[in-house]
Amino acid sequence: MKTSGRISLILAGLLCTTHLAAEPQFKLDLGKAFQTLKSAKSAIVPLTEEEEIALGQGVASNLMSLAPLLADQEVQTYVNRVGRWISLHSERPDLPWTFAVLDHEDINAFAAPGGYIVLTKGMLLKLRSEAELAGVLAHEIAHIVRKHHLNAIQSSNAKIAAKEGLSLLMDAKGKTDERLLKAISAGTEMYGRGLDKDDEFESDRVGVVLAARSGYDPFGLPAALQTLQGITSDSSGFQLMLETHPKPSDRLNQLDRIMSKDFERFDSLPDVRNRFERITSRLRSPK
Amino acid sequence: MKRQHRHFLFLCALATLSLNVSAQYADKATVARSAELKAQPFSDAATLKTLAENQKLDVLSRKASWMEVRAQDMTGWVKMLSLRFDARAESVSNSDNSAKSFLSLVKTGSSGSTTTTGAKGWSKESFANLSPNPDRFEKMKQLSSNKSDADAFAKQENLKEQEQAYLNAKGGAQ
Repeated sequence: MKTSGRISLILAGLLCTTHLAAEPQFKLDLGKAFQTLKSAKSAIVPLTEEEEIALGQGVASNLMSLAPLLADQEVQTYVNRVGRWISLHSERPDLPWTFAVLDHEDINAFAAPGGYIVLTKGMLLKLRSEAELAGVLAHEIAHIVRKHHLNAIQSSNAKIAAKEGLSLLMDAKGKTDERLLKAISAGTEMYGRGLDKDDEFESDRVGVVLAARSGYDPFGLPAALQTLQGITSDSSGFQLMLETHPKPSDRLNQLDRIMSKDFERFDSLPDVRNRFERITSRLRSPK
Repeated sequence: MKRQHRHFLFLCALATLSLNVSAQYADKATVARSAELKAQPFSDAATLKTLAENQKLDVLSRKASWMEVRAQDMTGWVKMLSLRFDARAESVSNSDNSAKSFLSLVKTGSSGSTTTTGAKGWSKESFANLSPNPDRFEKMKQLSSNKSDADAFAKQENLKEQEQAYLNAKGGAQ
């Protein structure tokens, strides 16, 4: 309740800016309102960690309706341990980091604010070692550590507030829950559109560093990207991933540039292939 | 005789493949920029030959930043990021059964992997109007591991923490 109150305060803050800008004319000047919001966007009030977690829980709960959880407790626990270990090497080790594998053939992974990460069985089956899994999870962890989705959700909320400003202003007090739900719903839709490409590149850079810090062979992420590079765009379960991310070749070029300097010193770090194969083997065997 | 020998080798390869399917690469790659083919996965290992740009290779395995490849009749190691993986159409649901696709490769003599499933993948629209699923989310929350659990799990495989600063887009320390 406290959290949704605060989020609504933030929205209300944005709306007040709109309202004040329009006041001298005694009617809402939409052009001006948008202009004001443009500058307001850069001054978005940061959420507390508690609020970020509440927002992320809402988004994750929505993402859960995409597909059932994979009914393999050992695999789920395994993915959580790999992910939790990596998260301990980030600047936000105390978030409620939680990972889930969805029983779906699509190749994808999503990070919701506050530490909630979802990946598909299709993605898991494309990987060859724990180091590759670590690379993919580290990329998602990086999105959360750098607050990529959170910032994008807040910016898009500012736009929604601009569009719906009038009606929201006329709303009676006490409708805060509805506004939070709107924020969560708009936030979830964003996963279909994707983040700024720069955020993806940044998560790749942070991801390989987190994997190395955790003691994994950090070439797991580029190895997974090369596997993705080998899948054509007309594969049905791969469309969304391609549409919402930079091309694998561009991502690999960046990693080549930054890892060629001194990542060779990590060449003796393990890729933990055997444990990965043992635990995921049931998923691979024909039904 | 030679043919029989090849047949035998092929069966061995097939046996290896079925024993260790997921570790095997069955991919083709192209040399994206000229690179040295090394006898071992180390920079100071002997150079077997220089691979020319655009040369096609079979990828066999990976060790850290190195890929084991077969270039014509020569097997050796090349830096993985000097390779480009060639896109090939495949069905998502069958794509992981490497042994199966390997068999179809043998059978047809081509990649034989142009089938696509009718399964509909997610699209932008899949994320519009999603409703919360609190039951599943509660189950998800139960999956979370704690720090000591993660620590013990890392120790099992002797994962050793390393020092590494974040990097900017140019590769410099951030």
